[in-house]
This record gives sequence, C-alpha cells and structure tokens, in this order.
Amino acid sequence: MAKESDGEMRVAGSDRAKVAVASFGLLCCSVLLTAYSSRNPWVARIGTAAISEVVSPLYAGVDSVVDGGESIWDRYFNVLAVAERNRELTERLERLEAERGAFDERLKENDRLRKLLDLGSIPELQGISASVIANEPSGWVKGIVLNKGRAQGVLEGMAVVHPRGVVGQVVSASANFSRVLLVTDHASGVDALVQDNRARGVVEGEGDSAAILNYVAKEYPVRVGDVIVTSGLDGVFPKGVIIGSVSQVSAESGTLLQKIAVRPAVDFSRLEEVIIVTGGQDKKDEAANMTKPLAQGAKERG
Amino acid sequence: MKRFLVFLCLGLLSVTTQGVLTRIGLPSFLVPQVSLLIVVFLAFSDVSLSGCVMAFLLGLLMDLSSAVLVGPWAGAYVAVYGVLAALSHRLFIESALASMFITFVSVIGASIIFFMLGTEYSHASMGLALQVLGQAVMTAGLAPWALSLMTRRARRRSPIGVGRGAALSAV
Repeated sequence: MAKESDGEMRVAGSDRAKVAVASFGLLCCSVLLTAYSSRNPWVARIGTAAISEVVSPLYAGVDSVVDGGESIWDRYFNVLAVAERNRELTERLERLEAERGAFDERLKENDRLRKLLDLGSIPELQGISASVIANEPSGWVKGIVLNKGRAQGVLEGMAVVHPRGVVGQVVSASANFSRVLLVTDHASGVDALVQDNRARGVVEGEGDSAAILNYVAKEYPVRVGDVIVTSGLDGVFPKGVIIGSVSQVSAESGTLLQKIAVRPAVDFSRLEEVIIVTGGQDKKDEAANMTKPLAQGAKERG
Repeated sequence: MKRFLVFLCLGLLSVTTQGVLTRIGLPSFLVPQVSLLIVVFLAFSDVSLSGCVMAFLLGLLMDLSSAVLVGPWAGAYVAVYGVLAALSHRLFIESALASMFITFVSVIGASIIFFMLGTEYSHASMGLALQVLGQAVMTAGLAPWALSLMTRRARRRSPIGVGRGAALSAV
C-alpha cells in the first residue's frame, strides 16, 4: 500500500513539474504577446471582432431584458420619480429650445459671413446612432460595446460622441457590434483645448470617470470650471466637442507644466445612446456650434 | 475535447456575466471575477497540461473582450493556475473558508500580474487598490458556492475521482 502510494506521489510530482514548466512557458508567451499586441493593435482588433460576434448577441439579449424590466418599473411602479424626471426634462427642453432659436440665428449669420468671405459652407454632421449593450467585463479597461458594426458603416478609429460631449473611440468593429474605448481609460488620449484661452494639451484617462489634461504650460491661466473641448488636430474627434470641465488645478514644482484634473461631461455610468461620427474633418465646426450652448451651461454650473 | 469545449463555454458565459453586471450599474469594484473562479477550479480538479492551456485560453478570452492588449489576463490566469496547481495537494479547498481565502489571494495575485504585464502600475492609486480589494472580496464570497457546484458536476460525470483523486486526501 505504501509503495503504491509512493508511486502515485512520484507520478503526481512529475505531473506537477510538467504543469509548472508549462505554466512558466505560457507566462513567457503572454509577456511576448502583450509586447507584440501593444505595437500591433490589429492583433487585439481581429481577435476581439471574432469574440464580439459570439458574445455580443448575449449582451444584446440581456440588455433588452434589463431594459424591459426598467421600463416596467418606470411605467407601473416608479411613478413619482418618473413624474419628477418628466418635469425636469420639460423645463430643460424649454430652455434648450429658447437657446436653439438664438443659436439658429448665429448659424445663419455665420453661413452668410462665410459666403461673403468665400470660406465655403459647413456640411451637415454625419453620424450613426447606437445603443450601449454592455461594458467591458473586467472593469479595468474602460470600454463599452455598441450594437452597430461594419454592416452599418462603423470602422475602427471612428469617434464616438454624445450630445453632452466626447465618449471615446471605436477600437474594434465586427460585423454587427463594435467596442469603444472610453476617454476615461488610461490608454486613451484626446488632443484638447481650454475653450477660453485656447491652451492646448492632451486629455488622458485616469479611470473611473476622471481624466487629466496634460502638457499645458503654467503661463496659461486655467481655472476650476473652465470647459475643455477637442481641438480636432488629432484627426479623430471633430473640433470643439466638449470633453469636460476643470475640477482641480495644481502647479507641478520643478516643471513648466500644470496638472489639470478634468471631470468628463458625459456620465458614463448612465450611457444609453451614443453617436458614432462617420463624417470627416469638415464636420468639426458643426459639432462645435451644436455643443456651445451646453458649454455655456457647464461653465455656469462649474 | 468535450471538457475543453465545456470550459470554453463557461468562459464565454463568465465574460458575458461580468459585462452584464457592470452594464446594469454595479460598480466595477463589486463585480466578481467569475472567470478566475473557473481557473481556481481547474487548478484543483485538472492538474495537467490541458488544464494549464485552458487557464491560458480563459485569460485570452478576457483580453479579447477589451480590444486593448492581448496577453496580460492570459499571463495572470496561467500564473495563478501554476501556483495553485503546485500547491493543490497541500490545500483543502472543500472547506468554504479555505476556498474563500484561496480565491481572495488569487484575485489579488492575478490583478497584480495584470498590472505589471499591462504597465498599469504607472497609474496605481488608492482607487485602483480599492477596486482590486472589492473584486477580491466579491469573488471570494462567490467561491464556496461556485467551486462546490463545479466539483459536484465534475464528480457526476466521472464518479471515480476528480483531479487529485481520493488517495491524496489522506495527505
């Protein structure tokens, strides 16, 4: 009995040794794979597109069930909260309609002046609306899954926006679904401007609804509440789309730069619908004009 | 092959579950790492080359769900599998407390390895540390139920013994 037990232990020991060696080997492979995929994003894109076509229909199914449940709750049980929300939205709509009237006038005046100066007219912004059906599963990468893909004209690299501001960028598009890297992710970077003084920097994500505006020189005065918008110079986002507002400013000692914390304009925890911008660089100014009333409102509240 | 496909389906289901939990509004630090639970189960029930490869593929599945980098989660899962497999003959995972503690440590270990491989350590902060701890606690809380369920299902399919075998329980 003891000899059989010893034999089993030796066999088990040699199995464990093989597993240990295999684990170490696969760990080394994953390190090499990480390094390779960081320089060759197509690896992640192709693999994710393949997985998306399998997993995303499940997301869409669950999302429709959750939406149905929320709809039943809102319509039949949560009547008081819905009434309050209805009142708030009606007031906001009336205010926005009043602002829109003034905005239309400015847009027409802008068009007239551009024609006079022979600058050409601003083409309409082109975009596809999409619904958010899932978030990135691990929680470490800030990303969302949308229910539109290549079949609907979505391509990698397209900007994704919301009426309130910038959402992120499409990093992977399969036939019917796409994945978006949010502006709050560490790997995200958006070329930006401080709307008032036009100081230029790069907004980088800090995770969990936070971002930092980097590379802004101390000579540019930046205050809490200042609105940060896209510069359009990165060739991804239209110019003038709101990213967020400044929540904290601190001067880094020993450098010529300031550290500026940005609170994103979009509430990513409640994102339901977004717009994928399919147009080109010419759409920048139109987007800037569309979000200007929101920028003024954000500054007043800031 | 059948076992391989079963675990692959479980992996897809776990990725979907985590994605849905964050979608319905659960904060990210309260989302359990369900796929890592499967890796912990594999480390105790299938100490073999195929188990090692399955752990690697489960991690790869997590990586491909993010579309940013391919490799960090695969490395983290295979490292956790390797360490747990090496210690599996010394640990008694049938105890609920032991399974919770092992899972808790596994989640923290996997997160640290993920940070190191994905160069996320440069963005380390109290918020990230709290997220790791929160996920570790939630996953550990789920561990006794999930691991015993998987063990019962595995024993039903192969009544002779699972992984280590009955003889090793005398150690």
